[in-house]
Amino acid sequence: MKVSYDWLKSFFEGDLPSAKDVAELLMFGAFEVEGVEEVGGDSIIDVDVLPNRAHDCLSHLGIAREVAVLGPVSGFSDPLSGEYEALKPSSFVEVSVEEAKRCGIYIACLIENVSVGPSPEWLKKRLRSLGQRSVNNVVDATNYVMFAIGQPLHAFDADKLSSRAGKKAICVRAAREGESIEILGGGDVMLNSDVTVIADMHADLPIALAGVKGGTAAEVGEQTKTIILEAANFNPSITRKTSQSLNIRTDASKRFENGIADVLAYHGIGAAARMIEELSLGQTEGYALSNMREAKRVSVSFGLSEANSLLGTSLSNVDVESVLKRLGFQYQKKGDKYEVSVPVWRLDIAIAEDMIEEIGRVYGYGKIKAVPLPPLGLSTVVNIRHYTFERMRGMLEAEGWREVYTYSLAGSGDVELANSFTSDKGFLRRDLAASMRKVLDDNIKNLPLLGGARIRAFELGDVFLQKGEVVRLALGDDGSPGTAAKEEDSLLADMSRKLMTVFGDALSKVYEDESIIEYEVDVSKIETGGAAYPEGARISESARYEPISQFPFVLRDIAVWAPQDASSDEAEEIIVSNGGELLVSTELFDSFGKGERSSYAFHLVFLSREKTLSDSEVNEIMKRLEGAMEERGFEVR
Amino acid sequence: MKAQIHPLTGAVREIVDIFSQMGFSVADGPEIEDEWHNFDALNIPPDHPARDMHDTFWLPDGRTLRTHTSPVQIRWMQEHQPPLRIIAPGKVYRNETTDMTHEAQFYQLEGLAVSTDVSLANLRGVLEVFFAEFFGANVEVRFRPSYFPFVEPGVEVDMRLEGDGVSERLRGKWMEIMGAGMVHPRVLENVGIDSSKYQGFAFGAGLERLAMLKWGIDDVRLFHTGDLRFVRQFEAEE
Repeated sequence: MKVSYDWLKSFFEGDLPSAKDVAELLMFGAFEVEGVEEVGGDSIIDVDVLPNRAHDCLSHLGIAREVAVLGPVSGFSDPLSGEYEALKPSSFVEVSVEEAKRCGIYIACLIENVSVGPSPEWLKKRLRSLGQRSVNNVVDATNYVMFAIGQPLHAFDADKLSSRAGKKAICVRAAREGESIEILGGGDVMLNSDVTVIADMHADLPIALAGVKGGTAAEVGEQTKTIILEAANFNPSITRKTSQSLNIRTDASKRFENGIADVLAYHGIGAAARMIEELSLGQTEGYALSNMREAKRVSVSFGLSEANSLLGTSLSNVDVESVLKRLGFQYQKKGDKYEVSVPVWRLDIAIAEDMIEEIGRVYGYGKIKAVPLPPLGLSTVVNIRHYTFERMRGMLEAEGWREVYTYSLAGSGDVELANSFTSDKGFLRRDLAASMRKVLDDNIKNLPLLGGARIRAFELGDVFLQKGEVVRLALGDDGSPGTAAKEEDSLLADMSRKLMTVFGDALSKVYEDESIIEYEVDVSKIETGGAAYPEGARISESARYEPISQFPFVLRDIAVWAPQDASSDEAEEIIVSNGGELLVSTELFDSFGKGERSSYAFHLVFLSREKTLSDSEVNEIMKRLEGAMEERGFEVR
Repeated sequence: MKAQIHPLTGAVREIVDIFSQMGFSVADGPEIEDEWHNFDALNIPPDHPARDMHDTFWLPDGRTLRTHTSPVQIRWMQEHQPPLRIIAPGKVYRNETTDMTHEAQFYQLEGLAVSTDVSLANLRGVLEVFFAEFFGANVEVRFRPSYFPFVEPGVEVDMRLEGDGVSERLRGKWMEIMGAGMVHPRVLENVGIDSSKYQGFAFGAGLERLAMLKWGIDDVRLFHTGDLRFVRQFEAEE
C-alpha cells in the first residue's frame, strides 16, 4: 500500500514526525515498510499491509490511525467514530440483493445534473502520487475515497439503465451460466454461477462484476448526466474466487476479499457523494439500501496475568491501561479481566491473544527481555531419518565422497504437478540416478579444479513413486577417460560394500550401472541401539565461500629433474610461491628416480575470475616458474 | 584429503547440536502434504487471502508440495502431548521463478516449544543462544510486528551480529532472519491440545539464508545445482 505523507498529514491537526520517522514508527509498531520515496515534493511510504490488517489499513485513514496510536502526535479524530447521517430515500432507484451471503450491504446513491470532466489539479496529483491514473472527476472521486478510507466504490451512468415506471432497479445476483459481460478495459468475460454480478434488473443485464470491475454497458463518460454511485460489502471468499477464476485483480477486489467493515460503506458513499457534488456540480437526489445489518459489537476479555504469561513480561495495570487508551479502545475492568469493546472497523480482534498482540506491539516488543528456556526435564528423541542420514554421511564424507542436493522437480516422473509453469518442473523426481548422472557429467569437465582423479558424489533424499514418497541414497563415481578403470571402479563397489555391511537390512539396490548405484533406504529398519546422533565433522571455522569463476581454466604440466636430495614438496613449494593468484591447483602426478636424480611432474591449473586466460598470459607465468626452478637448481625437462 | 561437507548438511549438523542442548528433538514429515496439514490446521482456511502468501504447487488430487515446514508441527502435536520442543529442518517448495535469492525448492528450519508457560520472552532467549552459537558472534535480536495465520502474536525476527568473527559486510547490520510468534490457540485446538492450559512459540527460517550469511554465499541456487566446485570449498575442521 503506497501512502502519501502529505495526505497522511491531512488527518492530523498537529504536526507529524518526518516521513522517515513515520516509517520507523510503523515498522516497529505495526507493519513492514518497504521504503520511502520522494515523489514531486511528497514522500511516498510503501507499507506492506498483511492480510490480517488489510480490512482496515489499506487506506490512508487506517495508516493514520496506526500513526496516531504509535506516535507522538496530536489532533487525530477518527471520522468513523462519529455518527453517520440518516440517508434520504431516493424516488428513482431501487436496489435488491438476491442472496444475502453474496453481499452484506448495498447502498446506491442517485446524483443528478453532474458534469463529467477533468479533475482539479490537487486531485490528479494525489492519485498520481500513488501511481494512479486520473480518469474524470466522478471516477477519480470514487478512487480517492477508496484510498482515503478503504471503501471501494463504483459509479454507473444511470441513463444507460432501463426504467420501469420511472425507476431504475439494481440487483445483486449470481451470474447465470452462459452470461457474459464486457468489462472496462478488458473485453468480454464469460461468467458462471460462482460469480456475483450487479445487474440492471429491468433489462436483466449484468453491468458490473461485483467487487471486482465495472462493465462498459453503464460506463460513466463525458455525456453522463445522472449517476448511480455504489458502495457495498461483497462476500470476501466469493469476491476472491471471482477474481481468481477470471484472473482479474483490482484495488477493489483486494479490499473486498479481506472482508471490510459495513460501516465503511455508509461513510464511503457519503464522502464520495459530497465530493462529486462539489467537483461535478451535481445534486444528490437520494439513497437506496439493501441488506441493512446491525454492526456487531465484539467484546474481548483478557487478563493482565494472561498477557504477561504470553509475552513473558511483567506489565502493570497502568501499562496495559495506557496502551488501551492509546489504541482508543473502550474497556471495562471486571475483576482481574479487561473487557474490551472492539471498534467496529477492527475485524481481526476476536480472542484474548489478539488483544495481547495489540498490547505487546504498542507497548513495544523491544522492551521484552530475553528469558532463557528452563530445562525441559525430558530427554530428546532421536529422529531415525536424521540419525540414518548422519551416519551415512559420516562414512561417505570421511572417504572423500561429496554430498549434493539436487532438484526434486523434474521434467518427467510418476507424480505430476497440477500447476507448474515450467515444463522442466512439471513432475516430481522418481529416482536420484538421473540427477546423479548429470552431476557426474557436469563436474567431470571441472575435474582438474576439484582435486583428485575421480569424482565421487552422493545424494540422500526423497523420491516420489506411485506407491508414495520414499528415501533414496545414490552414489556416483566417475573419472577422466585416462584413469585406469579397473582399480578405480572398485571404489564404488568398496563403498557400496561398506554401506551394506552397516545398513544391509535397510538398503535395497534399485539401480546400478558402471558409475552409479542407487538404494532405497528403509529408515524404519535402522536401529540406534539407544545411541545419539553421531558426532559429525564440522565445517572449518575459517571456511568462506569464494565465487566460482565463470571462465575456462587452462591446464599445463611441468616436469623437472631435481637437484640431489630435493623433495617433491620443495618443487611444489617453488611452484606455489611463484605461480601467482591465477594458479589455482598444483598436483604431483608422476615421480621417478634415475640413478641419483629424481624427476617430478605436476599438473598445473590456471584460472581467472575476471576473464578467459590467453595462451600468452599463461606462457608468461610458466616462463617465470621455469626461471624460479632453475634458480633453485632444478632442471626443467 | 580432508572431508568436504555440503553447507546445508553442515548447517543442520550445527543447528541440531545447538538445539539438542536446549532440549529440542528433531522431527520430520512428508514433502507431499495434504491440504489440512499444510494449510487448514495452521489456521489458513480455503479462500483466505493468507493463502496468497504461499505460491503453492498442487497435485491433481488436491494435495500440495508443502510450502513450509510448519505442517511438521501439526504432525508432531497430533502424536505428542506437551511439554514439547522440536525443530524440523526440511525441504519445502514454492511455485515461483528462481533468482539469486529465490528457489522453487529450498530448506526451512521450523521450531516449536509448547508448555504451560513458554513465552515470547523465551523465544527471544532461545534465538539469542541459537544465533550466537551458530554465527560465533555477539548477537542482538529484535522483534517487529508481523502476521502469520498460525501464530498470535506474530513477529518478524531481526538480528544484528557483532564481533571479530563476523564479516565486515554483515557486522553491525540489522538483518531480517525469520518469522515467529506464539502458537495460535486455534492451531492447538486443531490438534487436540487444550489452549486454555498450554501455550507455545514457533518459528520458521530459511536454512539456505542462514548458511548464506554464515559462509558468505551469494546465490541460493548454488545449494541445489550439484556443482562440486561449490561443495569443495567447505572443508571439515582438522
